Amino acid sequence: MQLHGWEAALFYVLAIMTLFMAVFVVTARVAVHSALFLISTLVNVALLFILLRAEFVAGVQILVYVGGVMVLFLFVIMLVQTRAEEESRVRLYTGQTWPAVIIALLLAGSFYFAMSPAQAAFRPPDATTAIAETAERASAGAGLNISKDTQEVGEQLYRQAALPFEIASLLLLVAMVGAVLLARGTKQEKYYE
Amino acid sequence: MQTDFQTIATQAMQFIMPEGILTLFACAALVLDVMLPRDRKRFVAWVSLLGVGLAFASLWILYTSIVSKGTPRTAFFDMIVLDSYAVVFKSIFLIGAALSILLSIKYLEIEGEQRGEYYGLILFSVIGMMFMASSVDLLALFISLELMAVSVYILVGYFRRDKKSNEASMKYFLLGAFSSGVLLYGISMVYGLTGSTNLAKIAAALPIVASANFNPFGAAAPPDMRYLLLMSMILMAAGMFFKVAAVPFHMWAPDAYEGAPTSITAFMSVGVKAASFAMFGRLFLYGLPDLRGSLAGDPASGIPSLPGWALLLGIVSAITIVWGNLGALTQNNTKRLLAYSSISHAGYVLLGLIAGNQTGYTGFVIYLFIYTIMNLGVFGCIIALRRRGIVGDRMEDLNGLMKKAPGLTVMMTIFLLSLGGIPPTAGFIGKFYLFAGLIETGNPWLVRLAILAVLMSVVSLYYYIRFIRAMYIEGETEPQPVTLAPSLRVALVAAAILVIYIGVFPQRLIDLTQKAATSPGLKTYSYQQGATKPAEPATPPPARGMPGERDRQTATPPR
Amino acid sequence: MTVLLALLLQTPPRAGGPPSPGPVATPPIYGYIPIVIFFLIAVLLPVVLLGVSRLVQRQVFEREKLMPYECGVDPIGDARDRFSVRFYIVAMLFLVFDVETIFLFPWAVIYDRLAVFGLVEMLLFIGILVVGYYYAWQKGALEWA
Repeated sequence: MQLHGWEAALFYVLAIMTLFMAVFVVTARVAVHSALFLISTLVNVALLFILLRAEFVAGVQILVYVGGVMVLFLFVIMLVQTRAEEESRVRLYTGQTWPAVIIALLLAGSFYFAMSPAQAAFRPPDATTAIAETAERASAGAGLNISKDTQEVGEQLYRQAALPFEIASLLLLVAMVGAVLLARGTKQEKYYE
Repeated sequence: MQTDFQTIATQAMQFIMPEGILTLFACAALVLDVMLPRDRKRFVAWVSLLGVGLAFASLWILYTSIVSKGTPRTAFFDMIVLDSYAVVFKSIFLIGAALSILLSIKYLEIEGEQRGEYYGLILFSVIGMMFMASSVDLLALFISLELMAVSVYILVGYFRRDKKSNEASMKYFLLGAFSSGVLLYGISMVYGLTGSTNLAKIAAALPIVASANFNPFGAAAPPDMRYLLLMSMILMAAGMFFKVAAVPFHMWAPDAYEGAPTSITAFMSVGVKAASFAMFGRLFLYGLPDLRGSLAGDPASGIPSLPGWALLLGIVSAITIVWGNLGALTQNNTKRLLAYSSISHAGYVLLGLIAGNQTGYTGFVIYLFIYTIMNLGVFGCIIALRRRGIVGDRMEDLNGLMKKAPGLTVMMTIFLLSLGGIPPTAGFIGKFYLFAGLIETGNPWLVRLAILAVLMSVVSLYYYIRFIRAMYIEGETEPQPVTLAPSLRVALVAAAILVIYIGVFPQRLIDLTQKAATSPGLKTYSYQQGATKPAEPATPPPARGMPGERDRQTATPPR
Repeated sequence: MTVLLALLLQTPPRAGGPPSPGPVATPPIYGYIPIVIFFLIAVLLPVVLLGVSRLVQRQVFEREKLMPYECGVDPIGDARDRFSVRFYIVAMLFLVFDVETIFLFPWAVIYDRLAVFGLVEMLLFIGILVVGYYYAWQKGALEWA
């Protein structure tokens, strides 16, 4: 799908914002600032999802990442003493900076090299079908007040991907066990004994 | 929808019974852990062992009643397939898990960390491994990979008071999460290019997308998708190389192996590696078979042909074998040494994928089977050296072991010789098949690769013999006696007998693994006389004679 | 113009008349105008409030006034102290159940179509997580005493 008009402009603004915010995440000296930049990155990505008409995924992005994961990040930042690092002149950049930049540029270059001959395969969308699709989506949403997108995700997730979905619950269980096992305070251990 | 439900329910009862049993027992292990008093915790180990046994029994029933007869079946909307390949790998994981649990019981008691979560997490990771072996969908493969990996990250840091264990867990987790990201990047690109996450559908779409003249929308110049395909293939390979600890991505292995509890080192060096190879095989042999050889170009319009993954794997396995063996030469910590040795073994196993013929695939499966048993044996012997006040992971701790524990020494010798690939042991059978597969191809570059591998396994004998020298010739440096706990003794004796038995009477295992290696969908590839050498980039590419080169079996697993 | 009108009215333009040939701009996403307005107000409101108070305030800074307010008592120690690791467990548990709740959304939307299958599926999913919840509870992960 190729973007046109104000959607293209919106896409480029959001994409560039995402990239800049991501760079700020790794270069910020204060850990809380990093976390805030990360929130900004994640919100931008959510907006990109909306641009792709993936409203449910955008919502999940906001709820899980901005709501949940970021809370976890902030807790972790508060667990460790970051003040010493912020105030003293600890070197943020080591000798690995330049190799890292070079490798990143090489990677970007090879992606461009791989992507450019494939450009012709990205054709502009057919106008009639696109309008019809949008109208259908809008009418489906108007009647039920439910995004059709969410229903599609549900169909895929609970029918096609029923097995991975159950495996995911085991994964969540293991994550829970790991958190309890590795991060129990001494007081709780005493309580348990 | 009712019929839908019934189908799924029947399938669940039948096809994923072993995994279901393990899930039940894993949850039971967690619940038992909070219910049992502190001095009864070892009971959880026996319950978990019972779970593994029951899962094995149900796997056996499944094999005899369904898999061994007729064509493999797919279930859960083509998410998993039940074929010999999956069954053999699942049995590898179950044997590995059973031996690891037996090795752990006494060890955890000595460390004072006997808790139920340990066994629960081992079972959870085995569930992940088993789904990795049978999944034929990128989504299911990735989630099961994560289930296995997350459980193992936690297990590596299981000794919370041990700084080394924490550090190992942290390193393994950070690098592992990064490599999962790389793998996922590759997966997302493959999905974008082929429009499916199902491996059979991807394999069906590849010949179309990978041809130089693919032009779906009638653009002026055909869009060349091959570079993107190769890019995604490389990203997926990089993710998998990390999981199996192949050389450019092996840095985590020595640190993680050294810091982890020894029983977990044993478990991850066999279970995680075998499972990752099972997934590697599924991804590359089922999903991307057409990217193996060179991707034909169009000489008329000046489109170059590109090398496929056989070249990539060839280079990586050569580096891995050399680097792993050379790295092991200078180590003094036995766990670190065995980490390097397991890196080099990953290189050997890759040879089976590169050979691309029946013999190579048989070697691929049989070697992982044997490697699981012998490597667990070696680690079991090192665990036996853990006594009050002695960690037992230095080379000196083995000094004069012959006088203290002759039985243990003999078993250790068997395992070490097997790792080195000396004839009367099982390791020889595995290496024989791997190297024979390469030589069978008749391709000069692959034969050279086989010769390199043989030379390097001679080098590997040097450091295995260092162990033997310490045990037999060196004088005692530590007066404390070595005693074997009953569970450890059972595990070690069973492993030693299996290693010798397979070495002397390999036929039954060969039959079983050959069935796995001939599973439908597993495409073999013969190197035509005088055709391109996949291990060499400089030779001129073949013209569009691709279909003739390939002896393709049924492409899609039937429903 | 029609596009702008459609944007404001939040409905797609009626597909009247033959569509013009050639690539036409993808129809814009409708229905986000309220959110954009909301967002603008959310940004403007604090800016205006702070700006106005900055303009009208008397600027007096003294030691007492700059001290962090702690219920009228002099502050003890640094506000940015290290937190107990127990907060981490709570955050982690929150995250796990947050993800679980997200999974319930698409399930609830097509619940009528999934019928018994969906019910059993979700029961299994939640059942496995309940085991984890029981484990965490019994281990004292939720205990604060």
